[in-house]
Amino acid sequence: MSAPALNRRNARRRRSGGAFSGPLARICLGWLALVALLAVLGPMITPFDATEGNIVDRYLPASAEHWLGTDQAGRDLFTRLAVGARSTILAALAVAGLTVLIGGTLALVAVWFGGRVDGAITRFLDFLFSFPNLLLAVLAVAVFGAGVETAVVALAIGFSPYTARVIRSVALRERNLAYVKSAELQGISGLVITFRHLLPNVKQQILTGASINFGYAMIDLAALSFLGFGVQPPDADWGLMVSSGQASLLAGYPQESIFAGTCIVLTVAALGYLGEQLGGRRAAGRA
Amino acid sequence: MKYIAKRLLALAGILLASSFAVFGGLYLAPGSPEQFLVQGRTVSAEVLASIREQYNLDDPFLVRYVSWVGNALQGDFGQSLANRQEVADLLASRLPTTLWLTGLAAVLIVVLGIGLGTLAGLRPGVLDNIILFASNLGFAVPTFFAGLLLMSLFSVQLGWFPVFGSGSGEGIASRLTHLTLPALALALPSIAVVSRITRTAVREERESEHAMTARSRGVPERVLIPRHVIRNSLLPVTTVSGVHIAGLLAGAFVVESVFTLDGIGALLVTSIQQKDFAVVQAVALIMVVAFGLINLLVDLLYAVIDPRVRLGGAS
Amino acid sequence: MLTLENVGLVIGSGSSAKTLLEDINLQVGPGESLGLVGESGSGKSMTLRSILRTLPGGSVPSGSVRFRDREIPSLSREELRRFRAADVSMISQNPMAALNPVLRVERFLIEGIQAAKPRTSAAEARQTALGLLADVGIHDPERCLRSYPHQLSGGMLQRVVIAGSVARGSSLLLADEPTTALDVTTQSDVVAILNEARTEAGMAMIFVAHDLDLAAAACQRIAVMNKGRIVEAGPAGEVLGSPRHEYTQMLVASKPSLTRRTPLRPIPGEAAE
Repeated sequence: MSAPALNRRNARRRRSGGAFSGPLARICLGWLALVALLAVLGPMITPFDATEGNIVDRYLPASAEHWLGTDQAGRDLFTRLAVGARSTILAALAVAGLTVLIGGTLALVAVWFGGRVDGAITRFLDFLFSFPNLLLAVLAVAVFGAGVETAVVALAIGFSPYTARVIRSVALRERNLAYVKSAELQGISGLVITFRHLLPNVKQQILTGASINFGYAMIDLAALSFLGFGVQPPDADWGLMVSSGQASLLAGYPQESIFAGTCIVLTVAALGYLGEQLGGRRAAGRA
Repeated sequence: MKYIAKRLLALAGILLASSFAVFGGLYLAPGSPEQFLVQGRTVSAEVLASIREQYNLDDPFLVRYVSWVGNALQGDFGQSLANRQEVADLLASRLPTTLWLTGLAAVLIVVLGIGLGTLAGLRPGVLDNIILFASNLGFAVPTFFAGLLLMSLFSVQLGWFPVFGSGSGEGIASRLTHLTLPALALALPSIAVVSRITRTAVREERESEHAMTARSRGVPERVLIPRHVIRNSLLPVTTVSGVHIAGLLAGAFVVESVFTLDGIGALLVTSIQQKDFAVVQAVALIMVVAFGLINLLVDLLYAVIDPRVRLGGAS
Repeated sequence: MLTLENVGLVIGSGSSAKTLLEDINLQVGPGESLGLVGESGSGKSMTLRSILRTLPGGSVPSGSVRFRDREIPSLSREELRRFRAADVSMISQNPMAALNPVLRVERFLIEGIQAAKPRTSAAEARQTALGLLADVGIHDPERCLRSYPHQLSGGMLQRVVIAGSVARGSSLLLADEPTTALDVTTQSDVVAILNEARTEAGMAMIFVAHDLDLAAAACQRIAVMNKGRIVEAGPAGEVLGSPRHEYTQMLVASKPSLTRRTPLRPIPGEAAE
C-alpha cells in the first residue's frame, strides 16, 4: 500500500476512534436515536389521532393520559410531536440526499470533463450562490405553489453549490494524480473511474456536508412550514407546530411552540455537534 | 483598481442572470401566464386585457424581459395586482422598516459576535465554555422560534417591549424599542457563528509565531493583544460576518412575519400568498441585488484591511 | 554575563515524561560569541527558550539561568518582560513569520524600541530605526520602513530583525538558525552583518546552527549538543580541527568535502522528528 493511502487510512482510524466518544457525543447520539424511534413508530405509540382532536379537551395539562398535554384543538401534543418527527426528519433527509446528488453530480461532471464544461458549471454555481437559499425556496413556492415537495427540491438546489464546491476541489486534486491519469490512458471509461476512484475519495466530505446540510434543511424547512409554505395543516410537523402554537403561546399556553421548537433545536444542535466531530469544520459563511 | 473592475463585471453578470431567473420564473408556472397571474380571482375581460398589456404578454419573451429590467432600473416595477398600487410606492413605504431591522441586526452581529468571540478567545475557562456552549445552541435555534421565545418572555411576560409593530413614523426611540427583539432573533444564529469563528481566530493568533515573537521582545500585553492578536484575527472574521450580514436582508422575512413588521420581507410573504407576482419579482430582485452588493463590499473591505491582498504578491 | 548552571528541562509527567535538556552548563561573557551545534531535536532551541523563558506548556525547567545579577527563572512577570525588552534579542529561523503580516515594518521596529525604552517617542524611534537600517545595508530605509513584510525578501527581513535588536540596545543576542530560511547567497551576507552589528554594539551572542562550519565561521567558541546534553565545548578551531567526542567526530566526518572523496556516512542514532 502506498504511503499516502496508509496515512489516509490512519487518519480515518484516528477520526472514527475519537469521534463519538465523550459524554456530550453520547447524549447527542441518544437524542437522535430517540427522534429516529419516534419517526419510525410515530402514531403507534399512543392511542390518539395526530390530526383530529376533541375541542373539549383543549389545553389540557400534562397527565398520565396526555403525556405532554393537548393543543388548542384538543389534540395530544406528544402524538403530534411523534408523528411530526417523521415528516420533519424525512423532509430534511430528502434535502440532504438530494443536495449530495445534485451537487455531487455537478462537481464530478465538472471535474471529469474539465475545460469548458467545468467553466460552465462553475458559472452556474456562482449564479446559484447569488440567491440566498431561503429566498430561492420562497420564490419556488410562489411559482409552483406551497408544499413540502417544492420546498425540498428548492432547498436542495439552493444548498447544492456549497456541496459541489467542496467535492469539486477534492475530486480535482485526485483527478490529477498519476493513477487516475494512467487508468484513463488504459482506456477505462470515465464513469468507472469516477465511481471507483473519485467517489471513494470524497466520501468523507460528502458525509460531513450531508450532516451539516441536514441541520440547515431542518431549520429552513421549519421556517417555510412556519410561514405556511411547507407542510400544510392539519398535518403534524415541528415547524408548523411552532407556528400554530404562536397564538396559544401569546394566550399563556406556551407548551406547543416550546416543545416543537425545542425538538428542532436539540436535533439540529446534536447533528451539528456530531458533524463537527466527524471532522468538518465548515461552519463558515452561509446565508 | 483592476480587481474592483473585475469584481463589478462579475457581479453585473450574475445580477443579469438572476434578474432573468426572477423574471422568467413566472413563466415556469403551470398554465398560461395570465391565468397564473389572476389565479383565484374572478376577473372581467377588461382586467385580463389590462394584465396582458401591463405584462406585454403579446410581445416575445425577451422583449418583455428587457423592458421589465429597463423599467426596474428606472424604479418602475409595475402595479400590484392585489391593491392596484404602484409597486415602487409600496416598496418605498416598506423598505425603511427592513433596513432598520437588518441594520440593527448587523450591529448586533458585529458587536456581540465579535465581542463575545474575542472574550472567549482571550479568557479560557468558565466564560469561554459558557460562550462556546451558547454559540453551539444559538446556531441551532431557528429565527422564528427565537423570535417567539423573546416575544413571549420580554413582551408578554415582562412587558418590556411592544408585542407587535415596527414603530415606523414615531422617531428613533420607538424604532429601537420595536425592533430590538426582532433584530436579536434575526441576528442570533449569525452571532453564534461569528463568535465561534472569532474565538478560534483569536486563539490561533495568540499562539501565532509573530505574536510569540512580540511577546519574546517584551511588548506589553496591553499593546500586544489589540495590535497583534485582535487586529489579525479580524481578517477571517470580516469575511464570515460579511456573508452573514449580506444574508440578513433576504432572511428577514421570517422574523418580519413573526413580529408582523411592515417590511419588504413580510410584503414578499403576503404577496406570495396573494399571488401578487409583480411585487414578488420586485422584492426578490431587490434582495438579490442587495445580497450581491454587500458581498462585493465585504470583499473590497477585506482587500483594504489585508495588505497582502491589497498590494499583491512578494517582492 | 550569562551563566547557565545545571539547566534541565522535562516535559510530561510519570511514565510519559521526556527529558529535553540535561545538565547544561554554559557561560557567555560580554562581546563573546558561542555557537551551539547539533541536529534537530538535540535541544539547541530549547536551551535558547530556557534563557528567554518561552518554554512550551507543560514543561518543567530546573537549574539556574543567571543574566548579570538576575536569576531569570525567578523573575516576576513584569521583570521578565523588561528583561526581554531591553536586554536580550531573539533572531528566529523564519523572519517572514516573526513579523506581523498586516503591519508595516516600521511598527515592528518602533514597537521594539518603545518596549525597551518606554520614554522614546514614536518619531524618535523611527529616526533611530532609519539610521540602523542603513547600517545593516538596506539601500532605501525609508521605503523599507513603509513596506509590509510580504513585500520584502527573507534576507532583507532578517536584516530588519538584526537592526531591531541593535535598536533596542540588547546586550545578548540569541540567534536560532537565522539563515536556514534564506538562500545560499544571502546566508553569508546575513552572518557577516550579524557579526558586524554585534561587534560594533558589543553584544554577546549564542548562535544556534546544525551546520558545524557555519557556527565555526560565525563564533569564537562552540558547544556541541546531542540528545539534550552538551557533549563537547571549546574554541571553534579546536572543536572543528581535532574533535574529541565521538559524536562530534561523526558530525565533522559527515559533512561533504570538496577535497576528500569519501562516501557520506549517516550518523547512527535517533532520526530527527
